[in-house]
Order: sequence, then structure tokens, then C-alpha cells
Amino acid sequence: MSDPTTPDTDLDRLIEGHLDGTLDEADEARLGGLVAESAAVAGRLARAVLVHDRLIDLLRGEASASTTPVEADLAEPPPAIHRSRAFRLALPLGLAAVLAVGSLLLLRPAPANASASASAALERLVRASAAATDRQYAIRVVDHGPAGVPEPVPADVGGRKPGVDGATLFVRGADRFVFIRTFADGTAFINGCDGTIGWSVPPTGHVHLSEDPRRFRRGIPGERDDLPFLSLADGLAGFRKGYALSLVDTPDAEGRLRLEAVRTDPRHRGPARATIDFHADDDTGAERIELAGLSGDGPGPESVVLELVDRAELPAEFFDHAHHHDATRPVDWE
Amino acid sequence: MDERLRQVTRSWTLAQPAVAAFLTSVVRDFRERDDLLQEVAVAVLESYDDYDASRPFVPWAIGIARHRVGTWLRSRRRARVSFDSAAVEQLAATFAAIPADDYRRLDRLSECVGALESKARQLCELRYRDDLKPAAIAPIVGMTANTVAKALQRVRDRLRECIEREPGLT
Repeated sequence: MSDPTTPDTDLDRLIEGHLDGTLDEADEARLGGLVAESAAVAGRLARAVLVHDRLIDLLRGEASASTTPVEADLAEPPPAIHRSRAFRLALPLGLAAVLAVGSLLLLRPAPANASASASAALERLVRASAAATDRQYAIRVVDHGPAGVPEPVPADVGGRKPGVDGATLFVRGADRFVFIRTFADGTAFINGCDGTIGWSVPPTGHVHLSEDPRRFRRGIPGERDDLPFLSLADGLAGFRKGYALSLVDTPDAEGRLRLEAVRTDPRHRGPARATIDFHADDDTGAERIELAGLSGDGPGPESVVLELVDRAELPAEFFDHAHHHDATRPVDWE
Repeated sequence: MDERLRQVTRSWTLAQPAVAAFLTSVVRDFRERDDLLQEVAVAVLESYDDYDASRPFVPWAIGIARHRVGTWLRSRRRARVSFDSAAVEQLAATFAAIPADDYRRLDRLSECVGALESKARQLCELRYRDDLKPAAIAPIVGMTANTVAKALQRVRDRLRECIEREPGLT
């Protein structure tokens, strides 16, 4: 027993719950208190975290199939480092190389590999996307990828979610969204965030809530990694990590400019290419977003287009989960 | 690559598992942990001239991480950080004191995960590759959230036992 007042089984429960994020606030505080008071408890937690932490690297690293170890820059690899950790090593060591040539890629407000005009365009898009205006996008798959057009998901049975083709995305500012996908039977699977709480409303059964605003954002194309095109302020880090930006500054027939982003870092799991069309003479945000090369983003389409279809103001409570289900539905916190 | 950068890169490479594990112990969200780790890497690179090479590097780097966690805690209103500064302090000291061999032993984990049967492997992938919590994993695998949590605990126990064994005995 590591702590005289806490049975081992209870401490195990607290530690394992902490690793999986399932403890309530009271239990988290209790574990924190035990850690602060006892070096032995801290040691047990640390031992548990070591495996947990390495599993994060190992399994996410495997998912990042195109990973190229950055240690190749060194004359010889450090002896204690396993290659599977290249995923995590990539950013800091990539940064080291960047710092070495004097280009503070990750520290600047705009990407160092972007032209000044592209950087300015990006900054404008960031400001526009952060403004608390409502936007509605229609999502269309333009390339389903090698697997072809998927069979429609008939209904909310067996945990399968509907595809994104034909989905609708509502956005307010940088941190609120409602994402609606529809099953073949016409029922809707709705994810969203009210700016603070992430939520998921299936057609029937329990509504799921999370204090993590990003918890239910994964189904949106391009949002699986750190490159949320619809909240570009959040996505800046993603741009900085591995994209070259360029601005097509000749307006098209509708007066729109185009920002093009091409992935230059193969370790990044975001789309290979993105084009964002926006109006030069106002700050309304992206009018059309095309994401291509999404195969590294997990199962799903290769390329999608998000078209702005409406900027009408939505009801104030539209981004609250309660707006999308009746009051009798059971609600679970994750 | 100049000599100074080579030194800091090598030192950071060796210290990074300890720093990352420390951050993971106090920041539950995987992505936020990654962001913080990157900030610490930048701070280490920027402060390297202040590092006294006669002292161990890992505690120095964890000290930087501890300060970053403190700053981050104060700046994030709804941060998914569980512990107060006393607990963070205690954990920083604990990770700084873990012998390098313990981190090296973790290199066996890949082999141990490879030896898991398919259900345990699936749970690991859903939890770690897909960053899902037990409640979200439950409907996918047809179990209750509580059963998933207990199963994950058993899988981690087995993996800990596995890496403690002699190589080749997985």
C-alpha cells in the first residue's frame, strides 16, 4: 500500500480513471491531493503514465504512416530513442532545424514560407473567421477515393455514422458549430459545440456532452488533425507546421481571391492541398473551401468542397445542444 | 547543423520522453499536451545558453516544463488540467528522478502491443490512436463504458508486466 489512508484498489481506480479522463472533479482533486502529499503515490502515477504516454506515441505514430524520422539529420541516431517515436520527435526537432537557419517558423504570426500577401490574406481570414457572424456551408464530396462511392448508412444502427456528402455545417465565429449528417432513413446525426461544451445528438438515445469543445469535431472534413479550416485562428498552428501558402491575388469573375495551401511536411496528417476562396473587398470569411488529399485523415473521401450557402443570422441558442433534441432525452457527460 | 544545435538536439532527444511523460501526467488532452511539449521544446532551445552542463539535463528541462505548465494553467480558463501546483511540483520531481533505464525499457512496448490479442489491440487503438474515451469506445465494441475502462486497465497492466520481462519473453 502506497498511502496509509488509501487502499491500493481505490488508488488504482483513481490513477486509471485519471489516464482515461473518466474521473469527476472531486476524484481528480482527491488524486491531486494524494500526489501532492505522497511521493510514493506520485511514483505510482508516474509509472502508470509512462506506459500510457508511450502508447499515445506508438499508436498515433503507426497511424501516421508517412512519417519520416527527423533524426536523419544527426550523424548517428541517439541510442536510447526508438524509431516509433519519430511522430513526437518531428515537431521539436523540425523546429530545431528551423531555428538553425534563423527562420522562426512556429513563432511568427504567419507562416515563414508564405509570401507577404498570402500572410496578410491569412490574417484577414483568421479575423473574419473569428468574428461572431453565422455561416452555413454545404459539403459535397468531389472525390470518394479508391474505395468509390460508399453505401449509404441506412439508419443509426451499429455505431456507423452517415457520410459527409450532403452534410451541412453551421459556424458562428471561431468556436461554435453545428454539423448535420443524415442517414438514408432521413434521421440526422448532429454534432456541435456551443463554444464551451462539445456535444453529440444521435437520432435516438443518449445525448453526449463533453467539456472538451473539440471532442465531437472529428467528423468534419479536415478537422481530424490540427488544421481546422473553419476556425482558422485555431488552425494557424497547423498551417505553420507543414504548409506552404500562396495567394492568387487576381480576383476571379466574382471578385474572389484564392489562398492556396500545399502540405510540405509529410508527417502532417491534414489534407495535402487546400484552396480557400474569399472576397477581397469584405471580411466575410471563406466562401469556398476545397480540401484535397484527405486520405491521411482517416477513412472517408479524398476530396471535399465546402460552399458557403447562407450568412443569415441563426437563433441565439442554435449552437446549444438543447436546440437539437427534445427535453426528455437522457444526457451523458463524458 | 552547428555544434551547439547538435548538442541541444541530442540533449533534448534524450530528455524528451521524461518531459513528455510529465506533461501527460498533468494535461489530459493529447493535443494540448502536444502543443505544450512543442512550447517546452522552443523554450529549451531558447534557454540552452543558460544551461549548466555540469548538471543533469533532464531535471533542467522538466523544470522548464513545470514553469510552462504553471503559465499555461493560469492562462487557460477551462484547461483540462487536474492538479494543483503542489501536485505538479511533486510529479515534476518524480519524473526527473526516474532512471534512464526505465525509459529505455519502454522501447519494448511496441513488441508487447504486437503480442496483444485482437480485442485488446482494438481497445488500445480506439483509446490511443483515435483518442476516444471509454464512453465513446463502448458502443463501438458492444461493451459498457465501465467494462471498457476496466478492460483498458487490464491491458495496461499486462503491457507494464510485459516491458518488465526480459526481452523476447513477450
